[in-house]
Amino acid sequence: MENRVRELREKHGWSQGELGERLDVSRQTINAIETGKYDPSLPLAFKIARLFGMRIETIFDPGK
Amino acid sequence: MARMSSRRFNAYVMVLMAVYVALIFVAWPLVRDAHSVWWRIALAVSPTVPVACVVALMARRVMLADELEQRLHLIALGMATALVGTACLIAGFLALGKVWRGDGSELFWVFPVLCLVYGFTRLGLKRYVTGSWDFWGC
Repeated sequence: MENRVRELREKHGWSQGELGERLDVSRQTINAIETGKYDPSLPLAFKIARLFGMRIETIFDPGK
Repeated sequence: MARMSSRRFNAYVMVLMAVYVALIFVAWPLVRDAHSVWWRIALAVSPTVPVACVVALMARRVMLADELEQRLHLIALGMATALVGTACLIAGFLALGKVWRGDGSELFWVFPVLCLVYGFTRLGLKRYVTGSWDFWGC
């Protein structure tokens, strides 16, 4: 699944650690999400969307 | 509840492991000389108390971990249990067939081997998923 987490994080000027703190997850989890090695659960995906003030489908793209 | 920091977790584990080593050196040699059965049992199982505390600490840490960390812990534990369980099954069949004659003291190694396999598996998984070799800093 592709996502725009890295792009949005950088736009806000946050480090992976800072975003992790805001979402109450580890820096490594943010890294794994950004690199596409881990797809977050639905509650975490909603949390990310809420934090960036966007709809979930504009951040996460399941692809084909 | 806040996630447990690596530094705090490591400090607790180090203290408990120091107690474990002290019990092995102090209590264990006294077991054979103890006259009362109950005292012998208490001395023999005393090193398991700090180990049980470490297991409880690890369980607490996993409970407070985030979803990816919990998944890595679960996969590593599952793989370690499957490997060690299969090895124990093979050993059991070999012992039944009198191919391997153990005196039961080998059981002492089941838990440490389980922890070792779990640790290496988790390290490998973490390296694959997050690109980090840091075992404790999750």
